[in-house]
Amino acid sequence: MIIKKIYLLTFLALTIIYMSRWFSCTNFKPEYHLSFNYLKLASDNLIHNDINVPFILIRIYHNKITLFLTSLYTSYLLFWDIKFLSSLFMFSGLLGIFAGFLYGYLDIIRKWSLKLIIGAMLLFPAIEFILNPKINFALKISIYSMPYVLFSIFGYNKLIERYKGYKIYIILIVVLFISVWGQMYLPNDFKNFCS
Amino acid sequence: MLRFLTDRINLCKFLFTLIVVLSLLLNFYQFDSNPPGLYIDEVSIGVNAYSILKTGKDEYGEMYPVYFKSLNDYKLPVYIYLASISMYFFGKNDFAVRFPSAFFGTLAVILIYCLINELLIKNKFNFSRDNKKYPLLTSFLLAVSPWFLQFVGPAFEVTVAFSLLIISVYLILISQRKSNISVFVMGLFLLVVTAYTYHSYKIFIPTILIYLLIKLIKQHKVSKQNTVRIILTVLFFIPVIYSYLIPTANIRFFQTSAFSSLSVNDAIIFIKNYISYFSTDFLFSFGDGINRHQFLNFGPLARWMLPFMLIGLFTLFRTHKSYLRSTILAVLLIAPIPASLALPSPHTLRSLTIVLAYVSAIAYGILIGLHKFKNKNKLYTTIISFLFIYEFSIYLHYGFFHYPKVSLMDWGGNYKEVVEKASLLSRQYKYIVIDMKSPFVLEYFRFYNEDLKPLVIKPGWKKDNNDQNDRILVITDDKTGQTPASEKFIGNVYLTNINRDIFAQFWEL
Repeated sequence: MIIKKIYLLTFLALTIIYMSRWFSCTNFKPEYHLSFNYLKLASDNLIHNDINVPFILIRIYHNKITLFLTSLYTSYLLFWDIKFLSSLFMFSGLLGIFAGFLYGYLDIIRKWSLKLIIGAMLLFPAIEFILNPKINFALKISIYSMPYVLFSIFGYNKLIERYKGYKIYIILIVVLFISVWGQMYLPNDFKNFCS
Repeated sequence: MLRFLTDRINLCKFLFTLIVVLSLLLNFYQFDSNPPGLYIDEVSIGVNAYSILKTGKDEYGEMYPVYFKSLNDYKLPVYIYLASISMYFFGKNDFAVRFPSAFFGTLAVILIYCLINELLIKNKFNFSRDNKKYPLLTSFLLAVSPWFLQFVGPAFEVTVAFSLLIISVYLILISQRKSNISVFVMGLFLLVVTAYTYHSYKIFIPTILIYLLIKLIKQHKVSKQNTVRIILTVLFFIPVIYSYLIPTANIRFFQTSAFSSLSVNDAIIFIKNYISYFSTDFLFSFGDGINRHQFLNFGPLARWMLPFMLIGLFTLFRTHKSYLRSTILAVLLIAPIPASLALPSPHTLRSLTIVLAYVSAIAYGILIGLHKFKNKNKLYTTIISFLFIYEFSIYLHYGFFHYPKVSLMDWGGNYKEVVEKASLLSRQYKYIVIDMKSPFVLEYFRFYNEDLKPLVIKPGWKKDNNDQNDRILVITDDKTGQTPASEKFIGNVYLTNINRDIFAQFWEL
């Protein structure tokens, strides 16, 4: 029990330390936000190739609704992308989130608190994509990260519950070690996602 | 007709036939002209295959080589020998070079059906009626998956290797069920051939074999029969293992290696590359960014597949251990390993095997949904069908209307037209000189007209004193007119893109 607490606290501390690097950014990169100008340009760009194509087909395939939905899908997925998540929460955070979904899905169905966390995880990217709130980025990224970190801790709890014994701790320590090593080796990785 | 459709077995056969016909259409329709033009690797395959067919030697004069020097990348032999057979029947043209890939691509759609069926038999899988649907759905999803379709048309060795891998695994599974050692040997032989078809499989296959061995040992299943199989496998793989020691066999690995100098930090690069193969960004939105590997705005998997993939993988991770689960998860986790050792990463071509795991998981996810929505089956099927048809029709629209125009330069440009024009003009000139930036331009001449023997010139080249009265044809991609041959303009070869940009100019000197 004590080992679990020590591990989770270490994980939390390291996540916060490495996440604080993101505080130097001012916002997510433009592709994380909806831009109607971009949609118009993309639409114009696409129809250039449609020479001798029936007009009805052009309307079906290159309309603004389809482009908007595609853009929404693409940008929304960017927030759930494994590269983005592993940069923000390290490999160890990613493992926690994965374990949370895999071993804790029954709890997610049962407990309101978890439903709330999942709801926030699903909603925050959509808010960021559509509204792009103009608040301090450090505050924004902290609010954004909170449900993920909490869910990751929940995931670790489930993982440790499932695989009792010292072996799981050895694996988790190795994962944490690799995570820190990754952050030290690629200190500017986060700049791929924010500017 | 109604009776026929209600008969489940016949319906199954009918649907399977439809899938195969669809696959044939998708793989063979305009496949020699779209993607537009042969890429340099395809041309090199064509040149070597034709040389093998006519002389038994490669373009450097080596008799029946195991590794083709080609463009100094030492290509593996299987595709080249297959292309030479294809050239025997169809002649020296684009169709013949690409035919083996399209043929084996269609074969893969048939084979995956057989493989999944076999896995279900081994599994004693309890999906009741869906035991018939699952292989059909997997086969269908493979046939329409953008990842797979992209590599079936052009002459990519990986498509042949992919099909050979499926058939060898299928034979090995059958041999196990029927305790037939000769079928096992046949499967093993094809597995070795797979390793000699595409470089990634030289790492993928041994890794998966080691995984199977560990599994056998863990399950205490090392019986007398299995020991014989293990010994046979080791014996068959001696040449593959030996190839790791041959420098020429590993040139391609070092050319693309992600690790410049061996250091402990390579582990981080490897992990970063490895996880990128599970990136939703890569799978559903942007792909690997190489235009030869994807259509603009399309990832290797269709967008509608995402929820079903998540459901399928989630369920597979949670279900009890079975052959089906182990196979899908093993492929999913092992397939990105060879590709992660190279750059750029993620790379759809080098990781094509993983599509097996993804389509199986997606099919699984769809069937899980079908069970969940038992009472609303029609609505569920309609929604999926609509999503599929809409996205797939957009995909085809991009494929046939956009791709040939926007990806011309990625496929080498219009070299075929350059050679054809040069062939027409050649009789009027003493010789042809080429002033083009591409280092491989001669390979196109060797493929499309080997009788023309143009000279590649360097900057500052001047006409020889002996040739002062001879007419020389100069082909250049320098459109500024500052060529050594800017004496008399003959004509242009244009790109077939929207702007009709000039690809090459012909001058007389």
